[in-house]
Amino acid sequence: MLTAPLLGILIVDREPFAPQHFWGLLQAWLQDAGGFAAVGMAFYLLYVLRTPSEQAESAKYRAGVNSWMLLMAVLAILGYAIYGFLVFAGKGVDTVNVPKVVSSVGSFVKYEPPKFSWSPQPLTLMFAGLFALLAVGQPFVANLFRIRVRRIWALTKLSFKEAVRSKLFWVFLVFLVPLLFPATWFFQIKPENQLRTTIGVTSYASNLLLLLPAALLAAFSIPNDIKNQNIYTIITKPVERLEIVLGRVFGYGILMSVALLGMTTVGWLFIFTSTIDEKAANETYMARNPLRGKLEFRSRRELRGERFEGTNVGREFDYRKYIAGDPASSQRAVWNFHSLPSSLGKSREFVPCEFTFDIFRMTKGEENRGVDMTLRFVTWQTPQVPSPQAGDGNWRWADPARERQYQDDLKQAVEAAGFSGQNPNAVVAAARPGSKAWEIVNAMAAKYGYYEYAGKEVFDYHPETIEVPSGLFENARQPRTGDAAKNDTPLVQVFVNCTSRGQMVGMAEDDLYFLTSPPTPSDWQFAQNYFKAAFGLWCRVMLVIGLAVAVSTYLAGVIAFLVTAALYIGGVFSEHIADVARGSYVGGPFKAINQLLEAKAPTMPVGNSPVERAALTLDVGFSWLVRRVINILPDIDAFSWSAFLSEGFNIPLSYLVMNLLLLTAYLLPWMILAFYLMRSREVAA
Amino acid sequence: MTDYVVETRNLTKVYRDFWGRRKKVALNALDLQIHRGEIFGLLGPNGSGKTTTIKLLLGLLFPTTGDAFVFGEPAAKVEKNERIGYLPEESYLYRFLNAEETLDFYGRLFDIPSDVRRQRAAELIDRVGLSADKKRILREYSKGMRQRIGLAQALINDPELVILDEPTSGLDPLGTRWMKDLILDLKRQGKTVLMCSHRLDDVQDVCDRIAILYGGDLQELGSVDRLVEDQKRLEVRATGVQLTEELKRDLTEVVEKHGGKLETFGHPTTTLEDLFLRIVEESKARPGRRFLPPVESPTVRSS
Repeated sequence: MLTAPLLGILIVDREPFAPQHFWGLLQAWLQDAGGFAAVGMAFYLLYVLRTPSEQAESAKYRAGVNSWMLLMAVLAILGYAIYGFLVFAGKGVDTVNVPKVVSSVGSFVKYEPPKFSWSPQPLTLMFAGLFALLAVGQPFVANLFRIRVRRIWALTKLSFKEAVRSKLFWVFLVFLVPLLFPATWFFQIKPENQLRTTIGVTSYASNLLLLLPAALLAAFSIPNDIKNQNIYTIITKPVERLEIVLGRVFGYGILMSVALLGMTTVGWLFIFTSTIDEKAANETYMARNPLRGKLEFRSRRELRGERFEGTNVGREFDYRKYIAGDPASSQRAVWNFHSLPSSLGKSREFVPCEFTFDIFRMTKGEENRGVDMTLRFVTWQTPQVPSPQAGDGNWRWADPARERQYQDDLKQAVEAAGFSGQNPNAVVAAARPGSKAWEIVNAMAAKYGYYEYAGKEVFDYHPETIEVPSGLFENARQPRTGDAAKNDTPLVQVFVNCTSRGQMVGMAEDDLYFLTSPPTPSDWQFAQNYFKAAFGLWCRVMLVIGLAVAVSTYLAGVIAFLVTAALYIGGVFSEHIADVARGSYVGGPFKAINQLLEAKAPTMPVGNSPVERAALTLDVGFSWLVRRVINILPDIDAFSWSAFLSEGFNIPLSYLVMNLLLLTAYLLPWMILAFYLMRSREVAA
Repeated sequence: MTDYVVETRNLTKVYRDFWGRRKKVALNALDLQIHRGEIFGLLGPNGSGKTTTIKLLLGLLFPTTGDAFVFGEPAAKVEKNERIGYLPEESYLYRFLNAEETLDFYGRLFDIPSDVRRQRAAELIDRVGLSADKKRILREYSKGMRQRIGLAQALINDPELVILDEPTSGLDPLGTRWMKDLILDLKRQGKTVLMCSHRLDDVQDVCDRIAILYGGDLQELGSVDRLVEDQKRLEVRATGVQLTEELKRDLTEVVEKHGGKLETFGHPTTTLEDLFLRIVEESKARPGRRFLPPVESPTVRSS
């Protein structure tokens, strides 16, 4: 999701999970986890109800079924039957979570979290899943009431002591190696990338040193206990089997938390006590709070009813779209801000706007010189339209009379302020916060909702900042009226264009944002962010421990470790697997086999022969299967915050709370599975 | 049902292979009752089903058919373990813990309050003679020491039923004597003991009743005194008289006729070892179940 490329800049190719996504995620979770629960429920009920009259007391006690489970099972079956009918009849289709239509095969599609849908199909599926979970989860929940904290704590301490006395902590000292031998000794690192490199190396070392031991310890713990028969003396005590699972999870969790805390503290101290280059501090050593908008690309084409979606310059990773640099070009990247915090711009005379663009040079240009950009900030009161004349790249005010009034007012204000004889637009362009001219800028922005910064020199992949008068946001906050209210016109829009001929400038939605506070290097902000980023790793470590312990309740240690590793690695590449499942690249494996056998290029369109149609049908089945597999994979990227840290972006606490919920949601079905597996396991067999 | 501390009904365990095919019948239709306060021994050669029986009672294995009850509750029920102490054949304890930590750990599993736990652990360590070694980790213990701390952990909850799997295994003669005394002491405290052992002399010394298993089948069940009686022979013990041929023909009459006093008159006993070996030989010759359970009242031998 969030990766920092070599040259540094935060790439947010998927939106992090935030509280507003909660209900959508919950619905999706109930559908997915409920589906697996339904399969489990079917097997369990078949097993239990197979020969009820012949079952002995012990067997009934061990694998019982009660009226609650049966009732929920009936409701779940009913729910799935209704869902099946709706699908068959083609009614009640989800209209909210519709897959985006890609413009071309393999093109970048930004992942968006699921949204809650009231359509009958997703709603029925959600309730059916909920009932299946309630049926399968009842014995698990009932068992939770029988567990005792003292026993879990005993098992937790045991796991902790076992690892400590096997001298595991010595392994973690390896973490000091990259700190003792800094990367700067071996590589030429740009000054602004000093902190990024350090964060990257320490993050990599922490990941490796925590995840691997965590997976090994957790995967081998219960199988070793069974192999060495230590578990005999535990099972024969009044210990619920779930307590053994939880004791292991908590024990290793505490152990790894201590190790993570140690590593994080050492890593932070290393940075804190180092001499940080000013450039690196300005880019990384802070915690920016960005206010992001929605990006769209516009041009004169819209006057003809056509859409301009930005230009693809042929980069393999088409995360960004490009606009042409030319004064005569009407192409604009437009950021729309539909909501603004009430405090934005208050008690300050400007709001920083930061941006980082990718410059794709069509000509060599001038050495050590960037490209010139113009940023125009307008509110809903000052809509802009492209010029209808070909060759005229300017965008005008939709209301020319208002524009004339603005120019008159500006002229008067400039003269009244003692700048008589000077070009009013030049005065405004040269104005900086704190100056007299800035007061004019602020007043004009507050009155008209308009501010333009022309001729900003921008370098490739370098964060730049400009000050936007806070008066603009005052103007934007006025209640919308007329068409603006009806059409939900954005409160603020930022029009960006490039005036350097022969250059293309690439932009993605998260490349431009307002900052709710000035970007100032800060020890405290960075330290907070550093430890928040470690929380993401903590979640991943707990995920690995929970997963490994859960699968080890049934599998041998080595197999449990391999399964955990496979699921984790699969989770890292889950988006790619999802692309494969969707056939976003070149279709499915059966189509590919057919193309190979017929010696056709993979991208050639499929014909209509029976074999080709059969291959496509099989690919649909394969795609369905892979989509189910994806639901088992953990969403590893959702817990990765190191890019936020290395690019100096604040990690909101709400994101971390969502991380915790996500972790719980992923591990809960595994814990229920572990409960059933442990309960049905003959440890002495 | 509740009169018995342990009861099995038609208890059967069949081990199956990966494909669900029957691999081995480890225990076949075992019907058994163990009474409160008795020491019950399970005897049998390797693979006879003794340990399987114990594991089924403890919930380490699940019955294929039949039922096992402990204190009247299904063996699968966890709560019953509150009243059970179990010493496995090998002392499978965590070797990175010392004796104190071991008892503290198992005490916590019983949810015993910390002050009671500490006091009981100290008493048990003293009782099993490990006071001087209580801070050493179990990895450094000899097998006999591990067996002692294993017994201590089995008693940490002051159990009503103590299950001992080969309790004298690996102990020297002194240790064996100590263990047997301790088992008898447990009986005196009113506890029920279920033990299995290869050491027939141990079983004979301490058990009130025994069950002999072979090939998963129950071969003999009864009080030790009764089982070791040789019903085919008669033994007469007399003093003040020489045992002559004439005496042999008409014992009572002759003893009295010769002015002697008859002290005992009954069946002589053989050793349990002889009995065991004979049953094993007979079972090999005629496989299958041999014992038909009589309606038997509890017989508790005074020690």
